[in-house]
Amino acid sequence: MIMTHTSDVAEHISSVSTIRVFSMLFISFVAGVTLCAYIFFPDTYIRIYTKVFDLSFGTGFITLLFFFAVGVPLILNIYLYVSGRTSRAVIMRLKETRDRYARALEGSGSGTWERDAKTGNIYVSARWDALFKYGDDRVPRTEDMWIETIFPEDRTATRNTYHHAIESDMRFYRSSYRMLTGTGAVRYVIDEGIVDRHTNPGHVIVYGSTRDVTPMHDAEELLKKRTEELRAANDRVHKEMLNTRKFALAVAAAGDAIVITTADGSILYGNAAWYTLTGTRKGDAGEPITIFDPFEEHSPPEEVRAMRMAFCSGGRYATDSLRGMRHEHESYDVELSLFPVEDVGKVVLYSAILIDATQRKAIDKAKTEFVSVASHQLKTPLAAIKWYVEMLVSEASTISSSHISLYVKEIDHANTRMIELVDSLLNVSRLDLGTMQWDPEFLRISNIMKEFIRELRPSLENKHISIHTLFSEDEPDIFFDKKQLSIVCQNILSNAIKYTGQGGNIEITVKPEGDHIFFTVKDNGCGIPMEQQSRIFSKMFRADNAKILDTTGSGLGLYIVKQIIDRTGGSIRFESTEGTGTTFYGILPTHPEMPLPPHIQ
Amino acid sequence: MKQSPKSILIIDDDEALRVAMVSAVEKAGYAVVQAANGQDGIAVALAERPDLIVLDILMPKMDGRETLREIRSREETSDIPVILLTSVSDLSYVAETTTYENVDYLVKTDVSLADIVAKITDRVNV
Repeated sequence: MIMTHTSDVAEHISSVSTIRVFSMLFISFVAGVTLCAYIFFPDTYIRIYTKVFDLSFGTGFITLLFFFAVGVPLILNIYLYVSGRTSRAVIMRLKETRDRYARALEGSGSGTWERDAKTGNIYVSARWDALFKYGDDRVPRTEDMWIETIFPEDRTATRNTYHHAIESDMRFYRSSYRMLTGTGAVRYVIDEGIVDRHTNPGHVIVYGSTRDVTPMHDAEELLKKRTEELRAANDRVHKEMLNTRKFALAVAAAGDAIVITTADGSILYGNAAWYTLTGTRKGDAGEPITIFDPFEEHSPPEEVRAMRMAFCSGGRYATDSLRGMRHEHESYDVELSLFPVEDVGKVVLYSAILIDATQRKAIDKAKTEFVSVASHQLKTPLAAIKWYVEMLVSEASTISSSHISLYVKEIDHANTRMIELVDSLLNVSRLDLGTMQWDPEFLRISNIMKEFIRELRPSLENKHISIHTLFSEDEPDIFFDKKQLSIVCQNILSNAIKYTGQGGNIEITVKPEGDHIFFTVKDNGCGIPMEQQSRIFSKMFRADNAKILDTTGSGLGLYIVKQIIDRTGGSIRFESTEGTGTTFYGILPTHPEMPLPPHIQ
Repeated sequence: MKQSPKSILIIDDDEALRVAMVSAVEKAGYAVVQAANGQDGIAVALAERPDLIVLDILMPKMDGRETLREIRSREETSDIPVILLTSVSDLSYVAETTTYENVDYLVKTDVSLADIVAKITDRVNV
């Protein structure tokens, strides 16, 4: 079956028919008029005829007869010959068109069909069968047979699409589905057709083709798969890049210095902390080239040697004894950990982490010193007790009672010093660890001061020191731990007495100031040397003149006082002139918060 | 043979300890001079040329190390034997003094007064 929709063929056919109809009408009209004129008006006709052609009646009659007998059939025959040739040409051209179309179809992988929606009859072209290989006996001739050719899973959907197309007023029908060929293979196909409801009234005929799009479908599937793979790969790369970038950022921003070097210690990368640690800048003239550079000059030579050895041996290495100098005069200590990075069993890189240990070393040193000084101070009274007891024992037979009382007094004195020192050391430890007990109650600072003045009366009278107190009448209570407040008052007061000479004066004031209590202790004692004033609150620091006046002090008292006052939200300061006297000014909140341990502060 | 007693200089900032040592050493028959700090100690050493110096390590102003350095640097006192009184935790502190000859170390709490006297006797009678 050939589709005849091609427009040039249709046009050609219609133009040929028009010429034929018009020429037939014209010839019949001329012949009719002439015949009528001859039959009804023979005389006039012949007369006009003979006159026009100047012929006799007989000759005229014969020529006319000849005209009708020979001329008209001749003209008709000529006409028929000419028009016959034209028709043959048209048929030839139609045939050519059909062949061309068939060839085109052959190349396209499409097979045509025609389906009668009413009867369910189906006609498929030879090309269709050639494509889908059902063979003459199995080729689908009904709609049901056609449905059978569809892959089972697609049957319902395909049937629905088809029926929707023919039952609605759609002009075109299109459906894609999987088809089972005659050999059982699965092919992806597209059905396309035009729904004709007019040519045969009452019939709905669908003309169309089935196109095998399996290669296209496969290509599409492949493309889809490859696209997915590509996208996944791209995602992976992107993620990797993000991770790498995050990693790089994390290394760059790390607080500890991170350096990556070659196997011989040349620097490949140093993060910001590395440059901060060494006080250099990337790209500057002084930028370290090897990891040894910043430490070569200022570390112990054996340390640098050991570090170089580590690079030769290819193992891990760690030290905390490196030292460098930054900003020309700032010495710093470094803790280094060195890790070899191996690739196929060979050290290719080193990664080094360097920590600024300056502060830690300073703290370590301070701790060691503290222990050293504390133990020395403990040993002094211990030695005193030991030696005076030894003297009591060795001189037992000869000793005078005055000597006995002298030695026992020394032993008692040393014992008291030990107790005080141990107390102070324990308080420092409690303050540093934040375990100092805080059990507040309502207290009057002036009452505590009065108590100590009473207690210290013997030493005051000994040195003829007079004490003046100015306690404000409206002094409010303070909600404070009694033990801690006593430590504050006792230390300041006993310092004043200790460092004030014979006949000196001490003045104590306590007065309210808003929701705080202000107190001062003023003496006219030895004062604090100007150059040592900044260190007076440091742990175990004692001014030189104080050490000479009293060899037994621990240097812990003012440290403890300041710690207690600072941690309860107060403050303490002093004014002092060496040789003239010292005044301590303290201020404490009446309702302090519970003091925080030092690490939170 | 010279009969005058050997003289011992005791330098310690702690009065109680110093007094105890002075008393013990005097009882052993030595002539004792004393000083309460390094500076005074050097002055006394230069003036008296003692036969031996007992020196406490931790003192204000000029500590035992500095005093020893000064004593060794002066020609008049450079070869006087010295007994350094330390505490165990001072070991790193006294490390530099080990380069000097004729220096003995005693840990205060480990020794009795009799030990100190014995050490002095041992040293001055070589």
